[in-house]
Amino acid sequence: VLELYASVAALVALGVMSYSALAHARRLGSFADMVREQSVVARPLSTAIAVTVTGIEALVGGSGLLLVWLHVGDGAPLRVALIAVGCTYLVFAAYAAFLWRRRPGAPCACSGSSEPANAWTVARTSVLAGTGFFASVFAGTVLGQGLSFAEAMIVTFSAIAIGIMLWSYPDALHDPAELRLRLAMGRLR
Amino acid sequence: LSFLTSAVVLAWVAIAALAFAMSGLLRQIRILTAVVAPSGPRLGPALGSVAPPLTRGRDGEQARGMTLLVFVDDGCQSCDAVLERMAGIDGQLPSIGRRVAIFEGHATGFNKPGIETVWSAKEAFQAFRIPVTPYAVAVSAEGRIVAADAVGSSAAFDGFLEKIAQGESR
Repeated sequence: VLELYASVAALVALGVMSYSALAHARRLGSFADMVREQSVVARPLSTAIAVTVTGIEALVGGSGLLLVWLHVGDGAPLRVALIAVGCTYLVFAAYAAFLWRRRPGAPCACSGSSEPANAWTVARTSVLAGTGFFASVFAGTVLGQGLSFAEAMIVTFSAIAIGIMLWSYPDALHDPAELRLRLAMGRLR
Repeated sequence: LSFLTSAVVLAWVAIAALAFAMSGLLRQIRILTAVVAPSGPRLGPALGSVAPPLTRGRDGEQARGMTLLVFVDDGCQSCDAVLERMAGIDGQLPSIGRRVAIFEGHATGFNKPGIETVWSAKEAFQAFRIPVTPYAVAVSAEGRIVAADAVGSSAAFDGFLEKIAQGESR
């Protein structure tokens, strides 16, 4: 049973990180703008930060997925990749928590959305860090020989479903304060 | 494949399909939001920024603790309710050192003890980028904006005060 959980956790963490890299790479310009608006790093650095973050996501997530696909060795390389994913998400969660508390209103640039960070952003990023670390403990069993075809199907589809949901949480559960304000303004003017 | 295994596979396929549908709906909501309420520059003053002066010249008095600003206008019914509420919090929130009512228009005869008033404050309305009235802004003793929100009713104003109080406790 553990190999089921470990496989789903690994695919979710690696998949969401790879998709995040794709989403950021597709709109690198607006990602850099959002980093600038967060006013955490010096303005001239924001483009460099955006490129670096996207690169780290692509490298860590992509290499992890490749390792799952290729089944290299006894899972040691995959373990390293999953620990790296966990650490990256831990840093992201800390950063999101900082934005949520200290930069209310600043775009989070999470899930490719310009919504400000909220409690759900921090929660789902922490969950993703947790799945990465959990899977790293059982890295050897991720989508291993012990799984039948049907079981591999279950693992894949549940990872897709859970990944999409975790990805959408910040967008789905944010407080529409700005929208309420604009609607109120539209009514009054 | 046993019946049960196939059923589990099918269930996860269905859940994944639902998740896809959800992300599609979220995308539609984002597009509809952009149509219904196009996003321009962010409304209201930016949190954490230094509060602009309320009036030219005299604004030098240093407040002990927080300053509570309420931006109001003539001919807005909810403004009166919020002003009434603001007069009623006398002493209830020790952190608020100064309460100011800022009117966009001319004198309406508003006079409540403990509340400073600023009349004809078009410039302050622009400087604070006030989108609607009544609008409440809390400024820290250091002169930074710690909270800002539209308060369309006395209940919304209470919520705003609660938010400030929570902000202090953390």
